[in-house]
Amino acid sequence: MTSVLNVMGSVFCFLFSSFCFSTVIEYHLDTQSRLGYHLVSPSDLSSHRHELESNNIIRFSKIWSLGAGLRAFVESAYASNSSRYADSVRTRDSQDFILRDLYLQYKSGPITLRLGNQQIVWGEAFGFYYADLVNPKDFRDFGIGPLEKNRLHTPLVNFKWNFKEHILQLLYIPKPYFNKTASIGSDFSFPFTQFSQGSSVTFDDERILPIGLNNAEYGGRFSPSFTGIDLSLLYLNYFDRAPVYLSSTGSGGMVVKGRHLRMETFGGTLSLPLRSWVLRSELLFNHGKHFNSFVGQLDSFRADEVIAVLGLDYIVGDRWRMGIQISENYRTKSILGALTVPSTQSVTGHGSVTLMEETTLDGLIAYAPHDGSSLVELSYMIPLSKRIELLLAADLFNGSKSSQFGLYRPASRGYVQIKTFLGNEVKL
Amino acid sequence: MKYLLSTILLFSTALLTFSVASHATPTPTPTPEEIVKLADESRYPSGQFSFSVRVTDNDDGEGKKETLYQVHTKNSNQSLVETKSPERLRGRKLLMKKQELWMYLPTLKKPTRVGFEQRLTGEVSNGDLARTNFADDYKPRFLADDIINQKPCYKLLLTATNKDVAYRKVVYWVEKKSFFPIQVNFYAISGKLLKTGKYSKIKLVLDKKRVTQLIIQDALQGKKQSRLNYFNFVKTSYDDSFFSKESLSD
Repeated sequence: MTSVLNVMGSVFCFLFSSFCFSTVIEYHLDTQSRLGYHLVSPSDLSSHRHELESNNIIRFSKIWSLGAGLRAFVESAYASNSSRYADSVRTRDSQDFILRDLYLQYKSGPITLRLGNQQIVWGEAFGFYYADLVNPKDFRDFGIGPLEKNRLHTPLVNFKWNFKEHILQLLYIPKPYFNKTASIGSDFSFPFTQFSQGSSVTFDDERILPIGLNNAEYGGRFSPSFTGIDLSLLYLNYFDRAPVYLSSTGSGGMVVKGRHLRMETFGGTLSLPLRSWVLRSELLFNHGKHFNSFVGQLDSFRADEVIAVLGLDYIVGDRWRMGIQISENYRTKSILGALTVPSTQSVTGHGSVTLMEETTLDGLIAYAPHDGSSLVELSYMIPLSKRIELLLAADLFNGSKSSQFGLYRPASRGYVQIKTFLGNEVKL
Repeated sequence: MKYLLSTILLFSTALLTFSVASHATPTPTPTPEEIVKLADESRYPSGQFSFSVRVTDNDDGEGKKETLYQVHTKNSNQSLVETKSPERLRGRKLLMKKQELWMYLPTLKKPTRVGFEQRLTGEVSNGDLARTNFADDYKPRFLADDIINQKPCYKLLLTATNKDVAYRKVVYWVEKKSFFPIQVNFYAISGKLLKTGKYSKIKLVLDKKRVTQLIIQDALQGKKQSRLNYFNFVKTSYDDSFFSKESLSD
């Protein structure tokens, strides 16, 4: 007991003394308002959202710091457009309060230890989260938008050792958290009604597992240093962030349960600059992943999966950037009723150009050759002042109703968004 | 009297001999490499230090835009440029390690490779802030003696020794007397003049007088210009891990 009190006293003294004498606070406060309409008939309201986000770092000293942030939003489109969105969507997704960073960091020379809610970013791909395994994602908006915003912070222990420019990172996650999926009846929900044969669907998604050794997740990454090459080898033993669905039929209709099962991922990522080009690659082996099938009921089966990604970026002059990326997911087992084909591919292109007055035009096209569907994301950002940005954007889904992107064609939308930045003024 | 005359004659002869001798061994002209190195020292200190840069962009005389950066540098081959303001760009970082340059955007939370010649703001390229000297990246050659603003200057041609630089060719004017850089012209690989730069505002910075302002102008549209003011120089010490991609998100 005495030793515990001593430790607590030391921590208090450290925090208090540091706070008094050398604390530096950096705060960011952003607001965002978005108004969007569907581009496919009926062209009704798709989003009317107001958002507040705060990200702050308190530096007690050169060694100790605390990160704290949150995001909250209200979305009124689901209530305003009740002819399109079900009550359950309005109830679940009309507002949210999301805890972002909440960590304590110790950084001394080559050692960094970060404890608490945080993001871990792995991988070299753009547009999609292949090797970006650690944090669950928010897919209620299809994952469109800044990757950082869709990545959900989770509590974990993050140890990094930077020795002779090699990096060793070890992670321990005491309690798994999972992707936020779109509610049934919202624009990007899983099409359960295809399987319920007209009857109602009750959905029970498993969102978290209790803390415990059996539920703990662990892994790491090693990045050896080679001149000009960024290579990382990674491993993670974890519960699949995406659910598999199991269904049963009762008197009240179809009951669907989302379940998350343990799996392992072994992989490597590579980035190789070649003058104005950058070659990027990811190779992942998912061992023991569960996939959905449907033979009368939604069920799951276990198989291994290989994901290969190869991309090439090109920097043109002082204002252009473009790239192309191809990827293939290959499942080792093919069974009757599997909801996805054993091999799927995607080809993605992106481009970005800075025009006059710092305005930026961005575009991304993702094409799925196995079913001919595509997704086009366009955005045009206009800075209105030091603290205000205007964004005009459109997301267009194309393809047949059963295809990867065509499934969401009715969700195609155009929107206007205003973002304000209200952080503290930095004086040097 | 005879003694006095012979003394004067002897003294005059000695003086003449010394004078002729001193003209026979003039002060040696520094080599182009030495000139560039001395001019580099008149821009930045050596070793490990940090400084701030305020960049004011002026487009056709309309609307000024100001961006504030803090630059950390170690032995001229590692540097980290942090955007401090405006608020909507705060948190962006540019990391240079030898010939590699990475941009970190808070909205991505991971670094992406960028080029030294890519525009950072206004007329300023990434390499203009990330690289703190010419001596490491260019092979200098003496072109001519020149006079700029009534100051005798060395006019040098600097040719890039590697392709990972902002400009393939630079013409550089350095004042003979003080070795302060006076003017610079930046050229593309095609030989096209891209930008011109003028150094000014000499101030005492970390025990040495150095230029603290650079005005970069677009070669075609002279009204398009960026003014870089350097200040707040601090000698410091960095662990190598400070300049790693892993540290960008810390």
